Amino acid sequence: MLLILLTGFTHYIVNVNVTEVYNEVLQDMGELDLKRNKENIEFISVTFNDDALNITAKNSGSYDAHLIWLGIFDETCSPTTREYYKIDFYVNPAETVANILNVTIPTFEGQERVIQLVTELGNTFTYSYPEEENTSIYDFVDNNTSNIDESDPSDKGTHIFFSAQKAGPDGIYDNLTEANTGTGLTNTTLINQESFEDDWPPLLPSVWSETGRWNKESKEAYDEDNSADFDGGTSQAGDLTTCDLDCSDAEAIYLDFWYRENDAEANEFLLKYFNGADWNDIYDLGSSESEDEWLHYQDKITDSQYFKSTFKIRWTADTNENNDDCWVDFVTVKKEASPINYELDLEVQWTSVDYDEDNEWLSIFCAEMGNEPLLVDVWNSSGNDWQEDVLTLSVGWNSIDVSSYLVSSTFTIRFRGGTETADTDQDTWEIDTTFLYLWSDES
Amino acid sequence: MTNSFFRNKRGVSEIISSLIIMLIVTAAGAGLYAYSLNAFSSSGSSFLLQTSGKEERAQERLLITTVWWNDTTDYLNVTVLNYGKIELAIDAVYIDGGQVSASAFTDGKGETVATESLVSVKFTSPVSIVDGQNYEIVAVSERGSRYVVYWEA
Repeated sequence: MLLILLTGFTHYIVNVNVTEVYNEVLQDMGELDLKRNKENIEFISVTFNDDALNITAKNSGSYDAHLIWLGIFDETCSPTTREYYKIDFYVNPAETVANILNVTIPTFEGQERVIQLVTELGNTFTYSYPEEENTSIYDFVDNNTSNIDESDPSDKGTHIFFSAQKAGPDGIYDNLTEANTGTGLTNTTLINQESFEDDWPPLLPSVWSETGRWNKESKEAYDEDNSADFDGGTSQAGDLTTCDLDCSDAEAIYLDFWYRENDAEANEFLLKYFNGADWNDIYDLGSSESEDEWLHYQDKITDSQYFKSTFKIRWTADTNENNDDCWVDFVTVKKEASPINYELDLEVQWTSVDYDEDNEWLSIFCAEMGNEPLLVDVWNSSGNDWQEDVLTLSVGWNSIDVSSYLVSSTFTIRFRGGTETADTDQDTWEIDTTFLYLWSDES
Repeated sequence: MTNSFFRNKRGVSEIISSLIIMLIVTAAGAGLYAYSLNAFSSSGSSFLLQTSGKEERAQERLLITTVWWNDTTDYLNVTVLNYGKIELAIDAVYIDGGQVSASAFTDGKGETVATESLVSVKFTSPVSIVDGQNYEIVAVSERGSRYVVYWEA
């Protein structure tokens, strides 16, 4: 019984060992298959030096490649021939090796052959000699300096990184940003001859504010029937304040009003401006010697501290006895500013274009886009004008057949904003790449 | 007579009976051991043989590197690379499912191919070859490994 058990156990151990060896073989061959799948050889060039074949190849795979056979196939004769020559070249990953050859290979310079490299891992890589002319061309845009339409200025807007358009798509963008092309200065009326006839406090352009004894009264009026009136008295103080007046884009502010006081002394009737943070005393309206008559106040404000969106004007009365009365009437405020109009008009151009291919497409890859549409115009050289709106760009690929416009070696397009008048919003668009895709159909 | 027979108290001694029993047990044990040894041996051999065959087949790799047709001789040429870890021999070729008969081979069949070596297998196709037509070609090794290629004439 012991012998039987011993024998059985011995066989069991042998079987286990055999199974383990088999599993190791399976694992080794699995690794070989994995390496084989990741092997890749690229032909860089095939030339002849003194009738000797010279193959340059690169290992673009993940593992060392061992080249063991070189096949030369002549398919131009009948019957075709397939000759294999033994070689022994090792190429490390990312390495480029030249002079891959077997000296016994007869020259075939200039003749058509198929060349095949066979690797130890069981891959074949073929190359057609001589190299076939590549009729498929990706011609990236060349420059952004043209002004084919002789516009003035030549560009409206800016590229942040034009070179990004010359490659990709690769996640590197050229941002096209609109420029403000508004010109000249225009006056905009913010408060128009307010004479305090209607609502109190006034509502235009939005609600004014008042404290103390400021009110509208008809006792005195420069214009029409009423004026803003402060009835002075012992320790009586109050402010009449305009609403916020957006002067953030102003280059000058014009203030014009009429005022009047009765017995107000110095510092009892002040004009103040708000610079967004503080109230500044501007003029002592109570210091005038001319009492009980309407006086005209005009000011052109050029101090940029007041070019704020919260600019305000205040009349402050701070009196110490009765009859220190103050009046304000016929208030006008204007700002002088450049009009805002954001435009984009950026030419980009190709030179030395292969313009006689069967198929000629313009392709543009866009990333994040502004709210305003971004248009593409193509220069029509036959009509010497722009063919407008051939593309409205959106995120991703945008392509169009431009073969009817690509009739010479120079090709020009322009990026143009969709809103070019009264555009107060500045937009930016991300362009990844811009190229012409040119190819001919196979005959 | 009968009574005298049963009344006879003599028999084999205890020693002899013990020897007889030992002999029987030993014989039975030896027989059982011989049987088990044979059983283990045959099953083990079968297992080893089977595993060895599978192991060798697992180490086999073949690749058809090129196929071309000589329209003058009507021979089809299939070049096979052995990129496995063990030598192999091409045993059969199938064209569109039709097996190439043994007599149709002129070269390569059964020829031992060392690792990293090529063998050119030449034969007359069982189906007619027409220019521009596609064919499924299967090369099978003696161990049963196969490689399929689709070839346009």
